[in-house]
Amino acid sequence: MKGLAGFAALVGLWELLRSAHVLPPGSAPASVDIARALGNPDLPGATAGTLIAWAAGLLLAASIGIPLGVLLGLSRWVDAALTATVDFLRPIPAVALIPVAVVVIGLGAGMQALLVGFACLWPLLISTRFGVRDVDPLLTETGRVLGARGLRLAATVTVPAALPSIRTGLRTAASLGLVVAVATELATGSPGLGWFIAQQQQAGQIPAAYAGIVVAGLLGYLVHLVTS
Amino acid sequence: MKRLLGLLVAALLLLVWEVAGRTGDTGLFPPVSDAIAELASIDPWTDVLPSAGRALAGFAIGVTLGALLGVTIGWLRGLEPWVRPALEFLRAVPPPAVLPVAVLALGATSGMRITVIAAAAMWPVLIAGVDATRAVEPGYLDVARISHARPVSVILPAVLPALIAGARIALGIALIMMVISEMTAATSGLGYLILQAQRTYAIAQMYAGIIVLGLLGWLVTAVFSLVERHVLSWYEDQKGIAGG
Amino acid sequence: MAETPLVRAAGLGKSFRGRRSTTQAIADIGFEQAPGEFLGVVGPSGCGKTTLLRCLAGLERPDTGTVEFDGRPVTGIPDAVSVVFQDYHRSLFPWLTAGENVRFPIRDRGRAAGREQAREALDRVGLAGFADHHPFQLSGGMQQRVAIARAIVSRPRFLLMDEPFASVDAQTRAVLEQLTVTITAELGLTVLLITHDIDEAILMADRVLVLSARPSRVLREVPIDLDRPRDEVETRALPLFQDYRREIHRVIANPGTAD
Repeated sequence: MKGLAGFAALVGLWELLRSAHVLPPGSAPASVDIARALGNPDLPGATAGTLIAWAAGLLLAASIGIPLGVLLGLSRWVDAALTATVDFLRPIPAVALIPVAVVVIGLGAGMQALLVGFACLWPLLISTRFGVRDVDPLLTETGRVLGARGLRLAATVTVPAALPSIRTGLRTAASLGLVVAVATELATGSPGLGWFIAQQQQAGQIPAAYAGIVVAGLLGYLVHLVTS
Repeated sequence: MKRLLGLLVAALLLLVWEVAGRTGDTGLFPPVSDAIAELASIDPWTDVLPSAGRALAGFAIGVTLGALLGVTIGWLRGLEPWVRPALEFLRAVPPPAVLPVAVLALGATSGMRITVIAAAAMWPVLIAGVDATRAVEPGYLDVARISHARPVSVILPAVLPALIAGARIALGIALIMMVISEMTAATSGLGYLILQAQRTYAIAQMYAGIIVLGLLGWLVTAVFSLVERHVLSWYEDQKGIAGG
Repeated sequence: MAETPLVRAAGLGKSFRGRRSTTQAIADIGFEQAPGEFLGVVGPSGCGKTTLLRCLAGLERPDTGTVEFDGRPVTGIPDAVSVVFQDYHRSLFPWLTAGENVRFPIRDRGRAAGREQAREALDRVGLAGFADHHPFQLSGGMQQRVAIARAIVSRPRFLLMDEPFASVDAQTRAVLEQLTVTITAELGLTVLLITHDIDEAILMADRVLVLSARPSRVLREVPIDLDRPRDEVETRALPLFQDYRREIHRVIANPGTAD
């Protein structure tokens, strides 16, 4: 209830800034027009495009990042072997690889998923590795005493104990993935909310561009709710 | 020994890249030596510094605003339930989504780029500030009151670890926004350079640009960690003792 | 009491409004405390002792009644009042060293003077040489010593202590009790000690105030006529000590028969 009032206040503030010409009326349409533009027929398709690229990328990152993170956490040698490489690749902003992906793979959903996957990989990898490394030795000792060894020990004790940390990584990755998905659409014209917003802006359909932003925000909010 | 192994593996991967580049013929994977040679074509003054400057300016403005707003909202306890959902929504908007509109409103200027970087970097710090301020130990505030000190003198150091954790996330987002804002409607900067290189099939230069971006990312992260360790030495030590 | 009291509380009452119900913490508390007197306050757990302390310190405004300090009604937090809070984990600042924590209440007094006074306060609690340690590098007992040093560094006249030894082990507790009595006597402090430990109150105080369960009121005032210095072992063995203990236990167990 109070939260809705907060949203109402946000809309009110927007209208106030508009009518006071703090926000240029040309690029800040009335909230009613934005609301009306939410019915734009292209919007659901664009939302689906972003959602699919995001989900595919996140899935890709999880299927590589979590097992690799477990391996890095368990084996000091594998960890040592890959640390330098990880440390060099990780700071590269994923969006910097957009041109590479376009050149190597070409435009399309696969390219987009790969970029999202690259961005999401690092938080998942790092938090899984830390989670596994931080598992209370008492737990693994107990598991060993109860007869679990090797993979079985990892699957029944180590990974479950590292789950909270993996979840943290997943949360970070999920919101980062959405950022990269939208950025990729913006830069390459892949179908999705980013491209929708850019197109509407170029066509002078400013309320529709804002409607795209609102939907992107709602999508982000949803992702946040689902992962936390 | 282990450090050496890591470097060895990295060197091996670079070697694979080099060999693949020399034997392949697609032109998409130029040998790494070509990319490194192309580094010379990147002018630090006109290509790198403006980008880095905009990113740092936007980051600094965003983090400062986020800290001020976050601590204020967290401190005004009654306010929080009213503004929280609206804040969570605004925070959830993927920052690149506002770029087209920002270009429209502010033009393709440095100011616009700094604004979108700041707006993106602000949120992780703001939300961390709200949560941490609400969680400040009431006992600290009692001690401040009984000592006739202003609450802010204990709130700020108490929430600093959370603010810095938020700033660390903000740093990554600032770099993303730096690159993407230069890829749309720009005529200079590293993002522009990389995209332009791709469009003109100067593939080696494209990789050189990415290497520079990687180095830049590595450098700012390293400086950030250094500052963090200095400012939060007490916090790290305490965690170390609590953990071991 | 011939002397003019330093602290006078009359008709203190305080309630807390929750979401659904209102809890009355203290109902009607009144007492006087002479300068230099060591007053112990005991009562069943959850009886509003902490609320009383917060009202006396000016941290909380009572709904009814008045607190007077040095003849003037307390509205804000008086300068000459200091508090040792219950849990050192929640009152020492982890980002400051022990010395900086102690200096916090006198941070306006100039660097050199402040440092000197903080050093002296740490000396008094037996922590000379630990000024540069952070709280988490010190044991629980040492941390509570830092908290005591911080409370006396500004040379207050009235020291309020809220179950100060509740979170340390029994051995340390006896040492800290002794230390507190010695220091506060040396400094001529007026002390109000809140505790749920009846023995502790008898061992340390000149007079013990027994509170009832919530909403609390004063059930009885028990003057303690035990010679000082009192001893952890010897004093406890005295028949008089046992009488006090029995009396207070009885009052708490059967509040109806108090008078």
